[in-house]
Amino acid sequence: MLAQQLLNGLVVGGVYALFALGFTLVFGIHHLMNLAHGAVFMTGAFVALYAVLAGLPLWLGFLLAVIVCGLLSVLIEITAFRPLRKSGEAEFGAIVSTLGADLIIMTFAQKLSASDVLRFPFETFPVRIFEIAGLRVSLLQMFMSISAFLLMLVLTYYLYRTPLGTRVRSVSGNERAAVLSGVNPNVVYFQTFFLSGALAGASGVLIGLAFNSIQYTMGEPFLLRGFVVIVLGGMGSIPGAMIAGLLFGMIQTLTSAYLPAGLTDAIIFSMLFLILLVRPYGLFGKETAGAMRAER
Amino acid sequence: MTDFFTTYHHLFNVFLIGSGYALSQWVVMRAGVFSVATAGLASIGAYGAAILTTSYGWPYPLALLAGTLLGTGAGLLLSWPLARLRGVFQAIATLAFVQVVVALALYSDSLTGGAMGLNAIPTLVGTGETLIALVLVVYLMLAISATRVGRAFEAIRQNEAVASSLGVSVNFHQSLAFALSGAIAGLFGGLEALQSFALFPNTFGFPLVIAALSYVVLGGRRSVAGPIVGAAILLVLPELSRPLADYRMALYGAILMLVIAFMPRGIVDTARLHLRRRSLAKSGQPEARE
Amino acid sequence: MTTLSIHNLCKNFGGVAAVSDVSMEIPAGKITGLIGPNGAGKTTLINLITGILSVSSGNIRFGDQDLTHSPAHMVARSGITRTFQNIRLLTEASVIDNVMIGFYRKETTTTTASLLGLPFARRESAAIRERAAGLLDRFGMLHLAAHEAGGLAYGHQRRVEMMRALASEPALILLDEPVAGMNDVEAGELGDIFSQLARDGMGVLLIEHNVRFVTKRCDHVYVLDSGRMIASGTPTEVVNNPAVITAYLGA
Repeated sequence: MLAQQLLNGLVVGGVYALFALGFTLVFGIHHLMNLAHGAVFMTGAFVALYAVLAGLPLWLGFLLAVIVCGLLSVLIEITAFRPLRKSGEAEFGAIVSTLGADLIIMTFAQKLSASDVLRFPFETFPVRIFEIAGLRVSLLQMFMSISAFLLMLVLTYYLYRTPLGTRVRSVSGNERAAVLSGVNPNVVYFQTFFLSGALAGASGVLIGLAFNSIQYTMGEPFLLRGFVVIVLGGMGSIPGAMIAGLLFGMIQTLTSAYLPAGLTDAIIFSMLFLILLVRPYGLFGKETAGAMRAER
Repeated sequence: MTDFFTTYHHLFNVFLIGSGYALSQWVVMRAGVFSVATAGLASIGAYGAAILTTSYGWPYPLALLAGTLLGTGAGLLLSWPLARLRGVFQAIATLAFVQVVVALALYSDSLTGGAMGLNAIPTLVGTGETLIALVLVVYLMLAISATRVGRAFEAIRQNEAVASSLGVSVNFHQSLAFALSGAIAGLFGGLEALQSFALFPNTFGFPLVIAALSYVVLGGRRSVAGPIVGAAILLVLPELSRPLADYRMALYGAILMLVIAFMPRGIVDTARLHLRRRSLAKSGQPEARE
Repeated sequence: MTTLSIHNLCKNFGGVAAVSDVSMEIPAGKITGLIGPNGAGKTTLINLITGILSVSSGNIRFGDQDLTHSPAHMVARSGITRTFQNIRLLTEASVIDNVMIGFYRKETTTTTASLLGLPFARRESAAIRERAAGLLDRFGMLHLAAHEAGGLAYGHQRRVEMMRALASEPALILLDEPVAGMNDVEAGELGDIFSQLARDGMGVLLIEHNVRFVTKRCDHVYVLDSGRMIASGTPTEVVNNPAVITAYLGA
């Protein structure tokens, strides 16, 4: 029973990891938070759903979701982040501005769906359950884990093995220096935001398939939980987001399975509060991420 | 005719309470703390006052006082761990706090009625009491701005290192700001409870966090008038026409994005800045820059 | 007349010793200079004295007070103020507001009185405004009182920071490169003010790169290099000290 819960948690954790990666990518590069990340996630689910409802195969819907969300994220960069570049209060401004974008995107989805809870048609993803080593694993769970794993692999490869990715990381370290050495920051921003959105969109589709309850408000609780993952793993840390995502998935599943329902949220957010108290830069974050006040 | 009064009477009450929440959000940001705990503090004050009046029959002044004190206490408790964090991490921590309060209110249904809500709260206060409370709070905020504590807040907000080098205790003042924020939120939470018939945990969740923050961002973070003007605009605008009401969420979102892009200081502060610059130019002051 | 005494002060960041075994005496009524190549640790030393950084070992005494582990605001309250190397004004506030905050540590209004806006609190605020205006007048900047501090010319900004540090009549003032970027005339004007402050009994610690300025104004000079004190004496002695010359040339 415990092992089953852990497995389920690991699967969901993989998707949390994807979501957190997208968020942390932007924070790591720009040191700014994109609060519309949850809305992008929700858009991914919507796009895939409407594609399938329109008769397109699921794989195409998935692809479309990823691309649309990548572009949406770039749009957010242009409208919410760019005006802040010259400002001295970019941190605060980013939060408020992306919050605004979040509200606008949610309104679109709300009007489109008439606030209804939507579902994928039956057998959009084939329902098959396997028994492996005494545990029940569905085909969907396998798909989720493999997709998450592949996407993380692709991201890691991109960031650490390609010249494009190296440029992205160089901007993260020091934008001024990167610009001086010939890197075009706008190209970097386009890439990071596109990737960030693509990851959010992918996680949206996967969660949409997994829980089959798609609503314009689904981004909010995911974003809030995403915060826990990101803080746990360390703001701006890629490996941190991945590991913390998996950890969190398991923690959440175990908590809902073994503790009174309704207490889960209280526990999760108390956990977040505690982490911020004890170790705000998380498991793998750098102390210079800016969490703590100066020494005294 | 009576329709007009009843509709706008209700809106006016909503505005008064919204202004209260806005001031609670404002005061803590005045001291350089990025806290969004107002919603959670308001919830504590609201449920406190409601439970005391429904289950224990307390008279409303005492219930409101209790709500205020509960909010103050919670604010102070929060300030202690939050002193070590800065900026967005404070925001996330206080957001976590708000969520914990919502979750606990939902869970402890024997005390709070949970998701079904705390019902049959007697209506013990109305526009009069709420207005008096707002005037009182505004007076306190103006007093702060004109005297020593306000100067300390402003210094801390702009540059903590400079403030401490001048003898200002950052920890003390930020705890004070949290306490004030909690007091105001608790008071207005109580006022809302005692005129709402019923309370639900989600009233004090993420949407209220966004609302309180929006009032302050739109109106201005320095002037006392800022949050009140912001609340007035954001609460009245959707009432002006049906499409605006339908798209209320998008309206808020658009306003937030536009304000940050074009008028980051907020309406009142930007206006005051322009007026001040114009009066300096008019009085023939030589250009400060050599 | 209080002397600031520093004994065997050390500050370590991880494995790096930013300040090692530094001892100094900064007496009242004199101008003490602190010079050294860039990165020597001069600003770190000031940050240690003022409580912005915590001391790894050693002690700091001001008269009979032990300030070694005091937080920044307590150090300020014991009568020590400072200026910053890169001018830290409250850029969004007006010039007069910037000077007014300088009076903070001397104000007697209680928190409660301030919260409630009691008459005493308001009277004291008005009195401070007048005194700030008086200070601005002495420094020839009264006409700029209402201007935004962030929009001022460099020289004016330095003066505002000076006024802020002097407002509370400190016993000791720490000046971190106060005349950087100024021509000789401007530097001379400020230098006269420093000399007058010392004559009036204030202790002055002057960190500067302008060796001519230091030689002219200081009674005693300390030289810091890579966190260590390498020389100490009168300006003439120090300037001719071979170790000092090597430090500057070799740096």
